[in-house]
Amino acid sequence: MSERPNRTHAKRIVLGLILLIVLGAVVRSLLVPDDFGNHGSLFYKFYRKGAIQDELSRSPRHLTNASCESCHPWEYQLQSHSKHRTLSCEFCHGPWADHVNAQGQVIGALPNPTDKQAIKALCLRCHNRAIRARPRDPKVIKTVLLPDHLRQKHVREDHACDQCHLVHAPLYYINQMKAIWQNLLKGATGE
Amino acid sequence: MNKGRRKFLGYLLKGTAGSLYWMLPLPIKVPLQIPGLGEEEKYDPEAHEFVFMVDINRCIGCGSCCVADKREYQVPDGQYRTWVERYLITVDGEVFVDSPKGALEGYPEPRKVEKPVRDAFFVPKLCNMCEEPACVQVCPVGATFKTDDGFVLIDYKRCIGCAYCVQACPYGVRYIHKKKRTADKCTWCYHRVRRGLLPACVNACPTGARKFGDLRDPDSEVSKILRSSEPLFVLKPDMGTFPRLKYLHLRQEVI
Repeated sequence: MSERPNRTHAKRIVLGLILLIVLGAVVRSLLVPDDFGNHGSLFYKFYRKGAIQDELSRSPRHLTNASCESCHPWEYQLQSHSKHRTLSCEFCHGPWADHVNAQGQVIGALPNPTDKQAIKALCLRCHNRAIRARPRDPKVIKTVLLPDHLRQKHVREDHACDQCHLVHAPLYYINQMKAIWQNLLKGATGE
Repeated sequence: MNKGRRKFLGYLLKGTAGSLYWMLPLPIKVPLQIPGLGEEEKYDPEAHEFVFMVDINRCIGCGSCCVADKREYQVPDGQYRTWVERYLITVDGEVFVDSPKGALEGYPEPRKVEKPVRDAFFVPKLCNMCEEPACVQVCPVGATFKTDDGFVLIDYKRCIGCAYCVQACPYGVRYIHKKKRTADKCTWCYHRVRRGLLPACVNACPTGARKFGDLRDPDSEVSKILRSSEPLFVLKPDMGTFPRLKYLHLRQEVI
């Protein structure tokens, strides 16, 4: 009756559990980086601190319009004084990082869309009146309906936009032409 | 020598890991777009609070933002960090929404709707940078988190690609990156902002429909709008996520 009950199975379970916990702790300390933990609050700021550095190590592929000025002053001057001043150079020509490297050396030519279809597609992205949903109030953008606009201006219907509008300063030629016309009229009435 | 310097830099970063970071390099010197950022020697994330605003009445659906975004991050085809939706609402209240190729090529074709249209507009979508992000709550490995200045970012080295966050996001901005095989989403161009540049989409927007700025700076455009009487809304306010992305002149039909 005084025989001690056999508890080997319980001991084994306890030993196994302890071994599991120790093993888990070791594996966790090996796998989890040192800077992983709470940085601020428990709920949304439990992370690896180095992840912010990783995100910051990305270098910007796009810069600003001002970054193009040093090498392309003529285009920059035209564009920054025209209706197209809010456009990003890199939208039509591609990102800065494909053109110049960090040392300032030219590493590749950017696309320069000049054929009729490409120009038309680029212009109509913004200026197509057929797309409803373009805001009219407030007046954000001037839109045209394409064959009608060409007919109205008495030009052939296969004309590309850049045959009248300079792409960097859309009203440049048109304003020049208006000024010449005014001077001609003045000259005609003056004599 | 080099190893020593690397070690030193590592110690420096670990030492300053509290809240301060050093100035970040830019490839060339350009006039910076966010005042007070990129020029200071140290950056204190607690002193900034960034918000993004989208003006529905100014968006023309040209897709410049989507193109800039795809090029900035070299996003694989068929996946989108940001996209633009077109809404057409007929007189009897029926809503038609579409977004061909996420507006990467803009909207080349008008959408044919038989009934007369009452209202039509474009809605750009991107990460909402919630105050209480559902995607961070569900992440099992702590791979996504909120920074002190309010950005929700992803740790691409820790992410295991379980896609739980993709399901949790009420706005559908997360996706599993085809090549990296991890979760990915819009970061409001955190690497650009910290260098004093605007996010790529804001820089590319020709009409100023996308606005970005620091609320703590009383002269920034966003804080002026917030103090004015302009109608500001957020998407899905019932979800209790308190987004930092605010919409100006948002219609109630937008979800």
